[in-house]
Amino acid sequence: LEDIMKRSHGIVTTRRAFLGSSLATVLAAGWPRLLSAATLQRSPRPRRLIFLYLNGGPSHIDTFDPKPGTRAGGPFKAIRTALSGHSFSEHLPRLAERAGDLVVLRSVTSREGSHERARYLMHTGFSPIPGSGFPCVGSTLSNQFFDRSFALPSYVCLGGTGEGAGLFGPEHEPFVVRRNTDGKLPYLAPFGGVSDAALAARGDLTRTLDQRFGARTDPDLATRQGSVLDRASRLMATPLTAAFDWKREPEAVLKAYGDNAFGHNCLTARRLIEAGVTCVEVELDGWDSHKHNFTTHADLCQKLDPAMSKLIDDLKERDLFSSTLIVCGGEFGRGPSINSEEGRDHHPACFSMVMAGGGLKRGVVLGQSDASGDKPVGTSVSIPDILTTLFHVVGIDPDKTYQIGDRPIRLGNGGKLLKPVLT
Amino acid sequence: MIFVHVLLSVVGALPLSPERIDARLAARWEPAVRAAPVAPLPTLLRRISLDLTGSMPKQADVQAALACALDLEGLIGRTLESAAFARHWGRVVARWLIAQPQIYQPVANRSLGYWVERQLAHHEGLDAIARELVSAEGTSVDHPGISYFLQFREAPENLAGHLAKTFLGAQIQCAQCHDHPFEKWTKADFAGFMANFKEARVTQWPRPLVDRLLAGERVTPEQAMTYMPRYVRAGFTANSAAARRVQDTMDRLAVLIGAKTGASGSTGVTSVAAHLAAIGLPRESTGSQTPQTVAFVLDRPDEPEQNRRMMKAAEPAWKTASPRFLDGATPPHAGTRLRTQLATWMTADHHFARAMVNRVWKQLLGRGLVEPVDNLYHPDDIMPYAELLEELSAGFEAHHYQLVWLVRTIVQTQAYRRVAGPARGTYRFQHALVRPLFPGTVVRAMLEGTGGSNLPETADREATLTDQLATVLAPSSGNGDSQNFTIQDALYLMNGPVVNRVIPANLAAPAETDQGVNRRWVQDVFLRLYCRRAEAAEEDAALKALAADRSGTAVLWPILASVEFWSNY
Repeated sequence: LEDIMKRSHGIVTTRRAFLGSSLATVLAAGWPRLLSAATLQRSPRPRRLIFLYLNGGPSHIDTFDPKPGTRAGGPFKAIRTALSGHSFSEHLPRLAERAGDLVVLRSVTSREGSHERARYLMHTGFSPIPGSGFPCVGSTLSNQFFDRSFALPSYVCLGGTGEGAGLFGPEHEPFVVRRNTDGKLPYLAPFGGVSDAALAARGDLTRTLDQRFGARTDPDLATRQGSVLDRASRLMATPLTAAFDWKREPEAVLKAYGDNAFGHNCLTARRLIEAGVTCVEVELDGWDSHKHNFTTHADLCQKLDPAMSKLIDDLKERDLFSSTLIVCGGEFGRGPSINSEEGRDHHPACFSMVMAGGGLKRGVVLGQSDASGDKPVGTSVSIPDILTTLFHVVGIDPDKTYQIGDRPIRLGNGGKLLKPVLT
Repeated sequence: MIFVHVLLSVVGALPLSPERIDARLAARWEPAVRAAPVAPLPTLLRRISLDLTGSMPKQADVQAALACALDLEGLIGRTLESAAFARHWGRVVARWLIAQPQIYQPVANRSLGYWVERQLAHHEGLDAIARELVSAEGTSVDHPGISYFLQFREAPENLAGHLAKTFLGAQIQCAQCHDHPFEKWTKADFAGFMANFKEARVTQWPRPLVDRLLAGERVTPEQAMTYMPRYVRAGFTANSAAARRVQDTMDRLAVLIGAKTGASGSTGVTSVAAHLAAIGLPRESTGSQTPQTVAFVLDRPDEPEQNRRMMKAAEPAWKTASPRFLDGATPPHAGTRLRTQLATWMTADHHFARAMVNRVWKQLLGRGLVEPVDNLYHPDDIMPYAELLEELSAGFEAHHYQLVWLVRTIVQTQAYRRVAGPARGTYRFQHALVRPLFPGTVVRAMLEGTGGSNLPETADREATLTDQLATVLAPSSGNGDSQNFTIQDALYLMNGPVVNRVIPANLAAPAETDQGVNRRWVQDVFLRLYCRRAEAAEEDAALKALAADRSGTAVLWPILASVEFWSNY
């Protein structure tokens, strides 16, 4: 990131006038965060989350919980992992090598079997109730660890939209970057090459208008919106947006993550975490394989496997693994039955999720599914259990209660802590 | 109770003057409360225009207001009878009906909004609109109001909760899982209310199949199946129960379509598009979330619904519960569709008028007489304006639930017309509030304020622009009652093409550097976009911006990104 700073000085100086602040001010806002990685190592808990969200519901049987030799198992072979006695699908060889760093949950259940609702549950811990405004995990972390002096958004979604901030309000909404094909954020540069002086004058006029309006009506409202504009202006000015520019990475690194949108986004996630962003969600879409399940999964695993593996390697190499939590999974699994079009249908009754990083043991498989992957054997793990554990690990009280209307809600929705996976 | 109702009906028959409403409000003021003065005429003009039509006022009216020569009451009267009023309030009411704004906001902007607009244009009361909505049968092609039910296809339980909240101000949703901890609702109440919908089936079929049915073709269940996704076809056999169900659905659709078009059997049209034209609906009114499908709602009293959700171990309680209304009564007429009976009961219930009045009040003043706006089941002693709400509701009922009457009554009050002030602290309607505009209104205001040539050619174009602002740029959280202005909205406004290329074309800055010309231009821009003159400090800052950048954008984007422009105040 020192490199980012060096290469970005040009941006700082040209945008200085608009910001109405000096280079020193920008650096003052940026440097403490840049230096915080070392500080974080001393923190007992991680403060960062990377959520690799596999939209559509991946088949656990064809990824992290293979059933070789059974009718449900399908055509994929199982391969040995670094964990004795546990195998993964043949299409996840790199993650199999790194299984010693992972926590694999194999008896996850969801209450919801349709995408929209299950996706909401996975992100918030609650089934959707119209108008209720439950916050998603990323927004909760953003709210908890919000640092107004930090120029980047604290919750970034790459390749997908995430869910809403609900009761935590607009400052904690996900900053959505659906496509990042060239490493540049849309609408970050002034339209049509506006001069610094012109930008500064526009900024002054905006502030004057809002101040005058606030004085005549409601100062609080003007301040709130002014704060959003100010954050947008600072985003235009900060060199830290270079963290979105995955193209700056060496060719070998790009290749290791995979030359596809998910690979680029995972690499961007690493850069954003390095820059100090609290939560990055990366979506890999396309797992809803009612048809052609096996070609779909082979293809998507070829994206997931290298990108997630390299992400783990990079975080470890940069001493960020123990201060970052990685969670990977979809909204539900896919069933043991293979239909006439070689598809598998939704299966919320039992599926797998993978976690890794700070606060967690390394190399743990928790729970198991039955012989066909249909149902959990013994204790199952619910989505609120996972969120409760996640909140605990990052240092947020999962029982912290908020009021939505006249309904009190607990962040973890009453889930239980998964103690066997905690350090 | 009977005495109260008799009293209320007498009160409702009396003219409810704006003065009496203001007196009721003032009666709740603590000694420290100071009422703000009535807002200047140009401010009022902008406020009323945006509230009644979602549009900026005409420049001629702004000039008249500045010269204190505007007949405001006459303008209000004309506006309430205008197509623009029906259009705007069609969308306002449609937004009340949207349960998941992130997904269904486009539906509110298009089909549902258009449908309510048509009802309002025909002077239907809100009771008739609610009855028609709740009991609707048909396809989203014939009846855009059907879109309402689509939102609840995956989770029908949410329908009961949303309906009770919206139309009756009753928060029963919590009682789906447990007896409500603070309110009177029990799980049995919820199940009984939801059971009123157990006959209703919400389905989406591929559009090509519906095209054939609209054309009056005879389609066999086997042929129908060829249009369905393969996983639906799996296991389908002729003469099975599933085949009979498909046949029955097609028969009933044919009857409904025939009834709409006045034809029996064949409608003589060959596509959804032609059908829309035949029954006089614009293309953008089709209600499906995806254009490849057509949604429809039919009642099937004789057939228990199969549980379509892919994971539900237990049958929901409402499927076996006996239908009940929220007052405990049961549907009185055996053999009559349950939804029809529910709609009749609901709109006759005392809480219906109160819920509607409270929502309209909130729309116009920024805060309901009761808050939260969807929870009216508080005891009167913690509802400071219970009496006023009763009187307004009685008046609304006496005026046949006409929205025009209610809006006219409210905008004539001093409470509505005062200068805006801060929202913090205890609020007693002693001044107006600054209210965020909806994205669609902002888009219109941008286009109208900067000149006529870029006005949308069709409603759909405006809806598309609105979608861009509302859903593409940034997901909106909360319940859709307000728009979060996010970092991405700000970046789009600052650096995106609409503000920088499309709009300035209408308001090019003067080429000369003469300060007098520039001042006149700045004042003209302020009049168009804010409906007021620039203050000295604002004019100086605008001239400075113009000096640094000779494009009109130098002044336009700060205005379009300002709190004032995005607000009604």
